[in-house]
Amino acid sequence: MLYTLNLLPLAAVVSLVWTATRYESTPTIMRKSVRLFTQILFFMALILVGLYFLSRGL
Amino acid sequence: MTVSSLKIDLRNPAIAGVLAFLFPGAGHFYQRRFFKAFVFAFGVWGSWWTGMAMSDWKALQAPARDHMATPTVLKFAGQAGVGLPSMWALYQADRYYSKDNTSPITIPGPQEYAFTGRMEVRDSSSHQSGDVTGTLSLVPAQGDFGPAISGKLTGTLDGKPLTLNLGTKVNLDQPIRSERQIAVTASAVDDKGDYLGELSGKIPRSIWNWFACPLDSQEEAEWHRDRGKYQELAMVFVWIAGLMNLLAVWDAVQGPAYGYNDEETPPPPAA
Repeated sequence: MLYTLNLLPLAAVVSLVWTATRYESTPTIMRKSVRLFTQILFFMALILVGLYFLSRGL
Repeated sequence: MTVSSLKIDLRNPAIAGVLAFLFPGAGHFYQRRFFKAFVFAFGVWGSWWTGMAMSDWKALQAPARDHMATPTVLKFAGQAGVGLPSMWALYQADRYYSKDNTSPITIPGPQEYAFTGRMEVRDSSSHQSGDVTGTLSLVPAQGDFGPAISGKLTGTLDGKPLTLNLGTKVNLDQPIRSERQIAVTASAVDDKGDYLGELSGKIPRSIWNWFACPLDSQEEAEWHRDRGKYQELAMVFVWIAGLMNLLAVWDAVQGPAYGYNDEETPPPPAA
């Protein structure tokens, strides 16, 4: 579990840097990077659930 | 190019790009885009330092010019985006694979190091063995077959003071290696030069001689064994730092990569 938690700062940093290369305005960067961070976590969670069910019984 | 990006003063984009490549955040600082300088410095360096620390500072390994193994080249390609450390790694790889990087036969002058290790010596009346710490003083000497290294150890053996003379068979590990310490082996001799026993241990290696140094296959295997799955996670962190910095360089040179229909909030009109 602790290993998986490393995903959080990584996703945050990637969201922030990626969004910073797309926009110049600070409020826009902050708003959109939070949105991107949430999207990344959401899709990673979906994949995690999918892999969990696929690996049941293995 | 959108109207918004026309208003961004990129100063000299070439200089900004070079600075951003060498030191993430520096290019944007040069352009006076301070918030972005902080974001890129924090993000890229944060990811890079995290990966390096997690990998025991061994994640950064560059191929040497005449040792272009495909796996090493591919691993380095992701890391190369963070310029200054990666350029050092390329230089370090050349030093590591150089023919001069062998165990030294002699040393240029007297040197002293903090030493930790083990000794086992036996003379006609006593036998001493155990862990030793102290100061290893090395001097150039003349051995049976030419220039050599000699010296003495001053320290403690299991808490008791000790002074040990070393013969002319002091062996040091190669100077450039990924280990933080240099392995030392030496023969202990008495005042007449008669053999007493063996000393083995480690002395510190300068950071300029171990940082970003390639690993040989045994060191790589030990590294994997020690770090486990965190070794792979560490590599991911360093790769992501390198790839993110490529985006940062692009931003420094060209400005923000606005997409279609991206609209920035227009700046307030000048008073």
